[in-house]
Formats: sequence, C-alpha cells, structure tokens
Amino acid sequence: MMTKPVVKVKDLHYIYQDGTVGLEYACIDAYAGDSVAVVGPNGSGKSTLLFLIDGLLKPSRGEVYVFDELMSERAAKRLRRRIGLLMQNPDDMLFNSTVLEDLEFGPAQLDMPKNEAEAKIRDVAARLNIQGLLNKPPYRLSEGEKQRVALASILVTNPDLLLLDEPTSQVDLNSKKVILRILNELRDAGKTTIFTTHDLSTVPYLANRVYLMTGEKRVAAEGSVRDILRNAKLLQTCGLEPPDITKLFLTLGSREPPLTVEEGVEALTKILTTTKLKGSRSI
Amino acid sequence: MVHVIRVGLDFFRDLIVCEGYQSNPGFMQRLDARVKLLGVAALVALTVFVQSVVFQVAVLTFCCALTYLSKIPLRRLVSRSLAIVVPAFIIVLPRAFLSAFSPLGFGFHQFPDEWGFLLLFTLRVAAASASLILLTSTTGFSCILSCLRWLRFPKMLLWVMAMTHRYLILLTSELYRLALGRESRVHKDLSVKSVWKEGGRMLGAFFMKSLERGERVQMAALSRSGCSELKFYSPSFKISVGEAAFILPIILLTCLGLVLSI
Repeated sequence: MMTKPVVKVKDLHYIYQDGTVGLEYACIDAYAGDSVAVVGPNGSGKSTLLFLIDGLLKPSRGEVYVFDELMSERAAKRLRRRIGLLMQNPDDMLFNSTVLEDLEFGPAQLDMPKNEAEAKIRDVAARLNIQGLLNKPPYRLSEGEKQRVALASILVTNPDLLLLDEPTSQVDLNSKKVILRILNELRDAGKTTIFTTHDLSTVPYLANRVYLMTGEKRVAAEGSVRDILRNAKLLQTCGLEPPDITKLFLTLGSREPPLTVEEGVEALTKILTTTKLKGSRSI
Repeated sequence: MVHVIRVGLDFFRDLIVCEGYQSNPGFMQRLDARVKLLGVAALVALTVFVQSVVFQVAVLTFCCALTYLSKIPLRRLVSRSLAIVVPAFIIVLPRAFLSAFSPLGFGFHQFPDEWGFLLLFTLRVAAASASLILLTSTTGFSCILSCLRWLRFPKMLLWVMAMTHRYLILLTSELYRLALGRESRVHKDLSVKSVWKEGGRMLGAFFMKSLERGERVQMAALSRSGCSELKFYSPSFKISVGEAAFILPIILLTCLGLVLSI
C-alpha cells in the first residue's frame, strides 16, 4: 500500500500584493522520513514555497496538504504545532530579550509543561553547543551562533516536519558542521525535512531527493540527488552549477562523477591504484 | 553619526534588556519574581504618596543597598536613574522660578516652598526610577509579564507590552545596521544641513524597513504557534528567608511613610 505524503503541494501559484510573482508553479511531494532539497538560484521562490507550506501565505492558486490535511487559515494554527520553520535570516526568528526566552517561546505557545520544556531546552542546547549563550541577548551573537539558536528554537518543540530556509547559508564551517550533524540525526530519527539552498555542495550530505527551481519561479525537475547534481546542463539552465568536485570529474569526462569530497577521494584512490597496477599514466 | 547612534542604542538596549545582571548570583536575582514585583510596586507607590524628603532618601538608600547585594555596580544604577531624573528635573525646574514671582506682586514668599517641592519631586523620581531599574536589572521581561498575568492584568495590555518590547529590540538593531550601511558609503564630511537632511531620509528608510521587518517577525512568531494570545512560563513560586528579608524593610518603610504623612 502506498503511504500518503506528509507534504503534498499541487499546482501552487502565489502573487504578492504588489503584483510580484512569488511562485509560478510548484508540485512537490515529501514522504515521512524524506529529506527533500529545493534548490534554485536567488529569487526563484524557494522561501515563498516554504511560507506557503507553513500556511503563512495563502496560495493564489493551488493547494497544500500537510499531514493529509488541506492547509487553510483555520487548519494552519493546528498544523503548525507539528511544523518547525527556520527562516533564512535568524534575526527574524530571535525576537526575545535573551536566548533562553527565545527557546522558551515555542514550547510556551504549545502549552508544554515547564519542566519538560526545560529538559528539552537543555538537551537541544547541548546538541547545538549553545549552553553558554542562554543568558545572552540574541543581538550579541555571531551569525553562526544566531543560526544555531534559531534552529534550536524550532527543535525544542520537537516538530514532525521541518522547513528549513537556507539553513547553512550564512554560517562558518564549525556551525555548518554542527547544523549538518543535527539535520542528519533528525533524518535518521524519521523526521521529514524540506530545505532550500543554492549551495549544492551540502545537498548530498542531507537530501535523498531534489526539486530544482528555475529563475522563472517554477519547479523544473525532480529526481534523486545523483540524477540532478550530475546533470550539469540542466543545472546551468537554472543558473546553478554542480558541486566543485562533481564539476571537476565531469570536466575530466567521468560518467559517474562523485558528489562529495569524500566520494572524490575514494574515486581518485581507485583510479590511482588502477593506474599503478597498469603502469600507465593516463586516467 | 554612527558613533552617536551606537552609544545611544547601547544605552537604550541596556536600559530595556539589562544584559549581564539578570543571571548574576545576587540577592534580588534569587527572589521570587512575584514578591519582587509587588515589593517594587509598593515602593513606587510609597514614593508617590509620601511627601517627605527623609522618606525618599530612605527609599534611595534601600535601593542602593539592594543594588550592592544584587552584585550590580552602583554606578550603573546611578547612570540609568539619571537618564530619567535629569529630564524630569529640567521639566519641573521652571516651576520654581515662575512661582517665585507672585502674579499679585507680593514678592518672593513662595520661593522656599517651591525649591522644597523641586527637591522632593527630583528625589521622588530618583527613588521610583531606581526601584524600577533594580527590578528590570534583576528580572527577565518575560518573567515580569508572567507575573503581571498572574496578577490578572488585562491580556491586551500584556500583549501590547510584549510586542512593544520585542520590536524595540529588533528596531534598534535595524536602525544601527542602517546607520552603519549609510556611513560606510559616505566619504565626505557633511554640513549640519546635510546631516539633518540625511537623517530625515534615513528615518524614512528606517520606517519602511521596520514595516517589512515587522511582517517577517510576525511570520516567525506565527510559525512557532504564537497566535493572538502570547504565553509565557510562570516563574516558580517560593517564599523563603530571602523574600522575608526583602519584604520586611518595605513594611518598615511603609510604617515610616505613614508616620511622616500624619
């Protein structure tokens, strides 16, 4: 029996009040445990798509189903209790006096018992390495710290569906590693994740499926991570490029280029071993 | 210009956020927030109703002692209080001079009373503001709100307070970033007229940005289920020796106030 998708987006279209088209066309499915990457250039409607899925914007046309229920104004309040949205700019998420108050905000709105919320905050803070920041005001934090705190602020509510808008775009390497580790843990725990990015190098580490969006704000293609990221021509039509390591191997004529540096090292080692055995210099 | 804005914003943020002191292991920080709130409210009420310089000095001394016990630099309390006391003093100052001259031409007979009133008024503002600064320096804003909710304050009022506090913090950050962005692209000294002109433009841009920012923040709050009624965790309720030690001097001050008022 086919399972029902956690998120089903049908023929979605959105126009902002000033007439700007936010999203031209999108059809997306995400199943339980899926980690779906929505990739596209800046201004391709990725953030708008997430806001529509979260019910923060009302579609001009089309429908959004979350947990098998139509996302309407009335249903949104109830459905959002199971959704965590991470906005692109963490400053928008952190609006309380201290980090601790920000982390308490979500659980308090959900009427989570205080001791349960405190335990959850301690756990999430330890996982994201932000224990030392709890009494600080958010505006004193670095961008990486802000992003980790913003992620923590949604994780404390233990959502079943995570909508992450460019989760690693503004952070340093250390914060990026922490965020990637946490997101992988969530995927392993069976949470459904939809994240947007224009940095394709992170996609192989997180996603199992990719939706490609164009500058015309349409979903142009859907497929496995390998199929999409190895298709340089398709990516180019959307103003994107494959990850550097993939590009290198594609340029060298590889038919099955690696997607990550780790895969690249493995492939190169294999090639070098073969070359040594054959005593040949050619790859 | 950026420097002026930065100093002003830092002072303002410090006044509303009071970072660093709320987590100090001091006397006031350990007190039950509800007892603290009610105690400070009583102090403020007493400073308003008791018309005695001695009493105001007693309240100020009590505040200074609490500041010391709460591990807050006294300088901070004085500087924050002065930010309120000085404008209040300037506002009330003309009254002394205006009343000194009787409209009926009978000389300066009101002079001593008016200077006495000026002193009392200034001390009263200083005592009340010091009490409130002490409260905000040792208690988180959400904690104060949850205490007010516990005291059955109207929900709408609490909602307005929460929103105002939230946007004040956000908009000060926005204003600073705007000033920084503008300053980095201005490569010449501006005349006074130009500074005013630029300042006006910046203010306009600030309002536009505030609107856009406000929308996004509202969305972020909504996405975390923050609907029309905002909820906060109530602080745990406990009465111990510390609370009694805080309340006892307030009761004594109340008695002193009553004696001085009779």
